Amino acid sequence: MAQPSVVSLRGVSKRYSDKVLSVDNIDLDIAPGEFISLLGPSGCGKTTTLRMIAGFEAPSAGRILIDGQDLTDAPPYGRPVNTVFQDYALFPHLNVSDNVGFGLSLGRRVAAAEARKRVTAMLELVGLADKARARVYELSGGQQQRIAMARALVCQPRVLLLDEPLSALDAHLRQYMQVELKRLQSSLGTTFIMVTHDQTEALSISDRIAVMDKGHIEQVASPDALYDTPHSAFVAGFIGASNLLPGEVLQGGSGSVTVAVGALRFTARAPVPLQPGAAVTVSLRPEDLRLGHAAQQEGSATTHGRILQRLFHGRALRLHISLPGIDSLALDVSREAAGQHALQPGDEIPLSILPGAACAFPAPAPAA
Amino acid sequence: MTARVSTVPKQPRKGRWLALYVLLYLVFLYLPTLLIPVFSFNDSIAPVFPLKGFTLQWYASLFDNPRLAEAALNSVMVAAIAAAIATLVGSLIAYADVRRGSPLANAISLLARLPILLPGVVLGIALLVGVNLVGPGPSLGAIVVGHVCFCLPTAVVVMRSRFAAFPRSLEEAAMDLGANEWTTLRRIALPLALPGLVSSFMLAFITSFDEFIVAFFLVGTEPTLPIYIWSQLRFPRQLPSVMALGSLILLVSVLLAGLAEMIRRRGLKPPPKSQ
Repeated sequence: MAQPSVVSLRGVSKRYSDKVLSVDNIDLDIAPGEFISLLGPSGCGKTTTLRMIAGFEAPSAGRILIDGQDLTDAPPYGRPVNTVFQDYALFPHLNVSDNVGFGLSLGRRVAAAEARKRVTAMLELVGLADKARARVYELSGGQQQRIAMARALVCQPRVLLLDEPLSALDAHLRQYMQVELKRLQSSLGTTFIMVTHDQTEALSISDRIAVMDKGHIEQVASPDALYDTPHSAFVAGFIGASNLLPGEVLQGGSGSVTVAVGALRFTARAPVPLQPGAAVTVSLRPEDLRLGHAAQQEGSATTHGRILQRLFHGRALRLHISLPGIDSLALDVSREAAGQHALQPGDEIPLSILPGAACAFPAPAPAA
Repeated sequence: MTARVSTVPKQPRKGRWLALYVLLYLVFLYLPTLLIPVFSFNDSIAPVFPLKGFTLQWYASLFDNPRLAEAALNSVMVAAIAAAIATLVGSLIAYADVRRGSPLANAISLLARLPILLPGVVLGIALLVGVNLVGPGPSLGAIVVGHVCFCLPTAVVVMRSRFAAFPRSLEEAAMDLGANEWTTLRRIALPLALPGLVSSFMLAFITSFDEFIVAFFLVGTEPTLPIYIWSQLRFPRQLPSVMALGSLILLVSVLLAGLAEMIRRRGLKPPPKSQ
């Protein structure tokens, strides 16, 4: 990396008891000003990783560097990071401005007048200047969320840690706050590390995403790269919707292989070199299947399927279809493309798979 | 929050029986207690109806009784010291139990709550044997020790629920914002636990103040108030004075308990939203 990292995790592990390895030997470098998300299913170790960076948990092995300094053993109050908690953790016995000013009131780090100015400016930044005297329980969930952000950001941390910051909000407010988070992050230029299990949230606002599973980092990449070139069947299945189908390699190679799935044969991308005869998991996104028979070309496949189920998704229809040798396959059809077809359950429809649309991974996942 | 709308129609007959039951319950519970203040103003030595006339002489007699004043002072001292120690130790045990959660802390917390099952007689005898073996023998100090044991379960129970009532993330947030352990305790944990501390102290104080059995076993030459009252009951002429004294203790107890409950509620619930 060209710039020095603001946070570096070096072989960090966390073992809670003798058996459970919650975080397993993680390496991660985070650049200044980056918005990075730790994404994964519950129990994947993402929150534990965040809590180790904050200093609430001590790693069982490995080092944590912040701005090049080894702060592995520093207490939470000795680190230039601040946290936005999942439950916001606003102090119920203090009003809004005393909550926001709490960090500045400690150890005379800033003069009282300066602290007041910064609290006021921060409340204006999050749009709650008129609530300075309010008690925190008088605020709505979205307002409490913004106060929690303001309280952490007013300390001007090198890194802001966000633990599922939007999970307690309803769907509409969550979308609004995603935009708001992104706006705050770009206007302040602070490094944000966000833990989330919501892939849509991670994909829409992160610069990079670290996908975690069972204590490992599966892949770190930009949202586009994760979506287009997943490195494992887990990432392919977790990011976006994907059909994961068992298949076999007919013609091996690196980069591109020919696979057989059910009665279909087509060309798939292969991030990991595969030998002929190897069992694979083939990931096929619902939007990568085409309705109708596309012009024949090298590596494409055409077939017919029977519609099992038809789900209305607004701009698109999602069809679940059965093919020879494949029980169920999800397929997205835009409403324009659907216009010519009836598309009712029981109908037979023509389908094409374009070459290189699918990805093949060694089965069973994951690969090293 | 949506308002809950009752769909069940009112049943006046059922309500009437319930009202009667509640009335009887309250009469049995409180009428005997209310007799004490009534007789304390009665101008007669015998506590029988009909009442003879109104007098304040029994109350007046309390004020020129130096032995009574001494016993009352002893009780206040014992109760204050025992309640302070029980609350301090109890909140430390409760904090370690709720926040640290180590097996040792859980075990200590359990042991501290167990004496709630111990009969006062057993505790009294055990402590009497104990203070004779290693301590000063029966004395006010021994009663303080006994009352700490007696009040500790209450203190631990009250403080455990208080510490469990606010999430650990509040203390983590304070440390995250730069407060060290001591500042976090002083500015976050203590203010939030304060209602619990006050109500724990008051409960322990009241418990110790009118505790009789344990004190009876451990009392030396200086009696506490309940021991003094009991000793006076051998003299029928003293009964009205004892009733006057009982009335005063009742009044103070009710005031203290009410105050403790008010503080506890103020600490638990934020005032309702004004909108």
